[in-house]
Amino acid sequence: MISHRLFSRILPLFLAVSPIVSLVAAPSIAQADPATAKAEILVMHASQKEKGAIDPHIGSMPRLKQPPFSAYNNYELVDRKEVPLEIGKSATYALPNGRVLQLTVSPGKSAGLFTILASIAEANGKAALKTVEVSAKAGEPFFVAGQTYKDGILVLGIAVKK
Amino acid sequence: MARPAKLTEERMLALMAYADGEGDVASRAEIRASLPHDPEGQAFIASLLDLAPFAAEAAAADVPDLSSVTVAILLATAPAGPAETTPAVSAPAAIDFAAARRRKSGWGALVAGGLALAAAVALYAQVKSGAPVAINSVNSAGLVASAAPSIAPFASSAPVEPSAIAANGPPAVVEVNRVDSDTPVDVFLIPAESTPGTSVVVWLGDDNALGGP
Repeated sequence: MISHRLFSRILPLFLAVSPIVSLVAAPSIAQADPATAKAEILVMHASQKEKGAIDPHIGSMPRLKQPPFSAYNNYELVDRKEVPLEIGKSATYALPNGRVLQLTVSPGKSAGLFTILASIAEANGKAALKTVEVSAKAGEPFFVAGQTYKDGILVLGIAVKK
Repeated sequence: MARPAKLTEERMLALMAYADGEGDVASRAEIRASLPHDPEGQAFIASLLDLAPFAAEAAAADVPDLSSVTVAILLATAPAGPAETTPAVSAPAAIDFAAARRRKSGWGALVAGGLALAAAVALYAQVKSGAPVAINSVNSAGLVASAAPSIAPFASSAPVEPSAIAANGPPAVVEVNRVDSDTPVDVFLIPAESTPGTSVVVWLGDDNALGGP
């Protein structure tokens, strides 16, 4: 048991510290808002060149030299963007080929997992890709490739994180 | 009573062919007769046919035809070498896990067999070890492919904030729960670079069929 004497010493200290703790803790609680997330979208143009190369802006990405990506030997970074997301609501991203990527994110089956619905539509609304549903850990990317673009294709990397 | 067949490479290939509806009547009958006494073979077949329920489910749910979807596991354990030397292959190596989803492939039997065996061994190893299965089922119509990846994500040249795609994270599960497309789609489970696991690539095919750019 805490003696009355000890308690009387601890209480003022607690009262003095608790507002500070609240101030420090509040932002982190706000950051953990489960209703928002963001998608990082990496857009690459893959093509076949006589002397292909990987755009240094893409960074070190050895997997581009492995199947299936190695079907093309030239990769250029087209765009890299973070799209804010509201859980359960759709967000769109205009692709360089005129199509629109739509993402809808919901909580996954377990903590740290997201369920991501992705679709790609033509400008006229016709679906180029009706739906891909992916479950992925926060920050883990998946790829959507194959859309015709210029002299090659688009390769999209999509990762959702808090 | 027939003795259980040992799960050799030849046996796996035979079981894969059986699962795909291939082989002559005699060989299929032989395998069929041996399976009741071969638990490992049954488990192997089961792992290969894990997608089968989805064809029926898809039909029952009146969802789009999934016959255009192919699952592939590419076991590229070593870098493919300089991109310059890599031929422009329009259809990367693909392994089809369900006869209902079989597509025409221009790959030779030897290459396909080798890749199929490698993929099957990896898949079976995961099944047997209790690790997350490479191909599994969920309660949704469509194609299912899951794996336990340790995705070595993209590298990033973004100088400001560490990229989620670029950051090296711990191993995690990535699953493709459903793919719905009017055009052929390949789903590739590509290996992580340094540790066991896979990443997922959804590859849209026949893009021009939609009148795309």
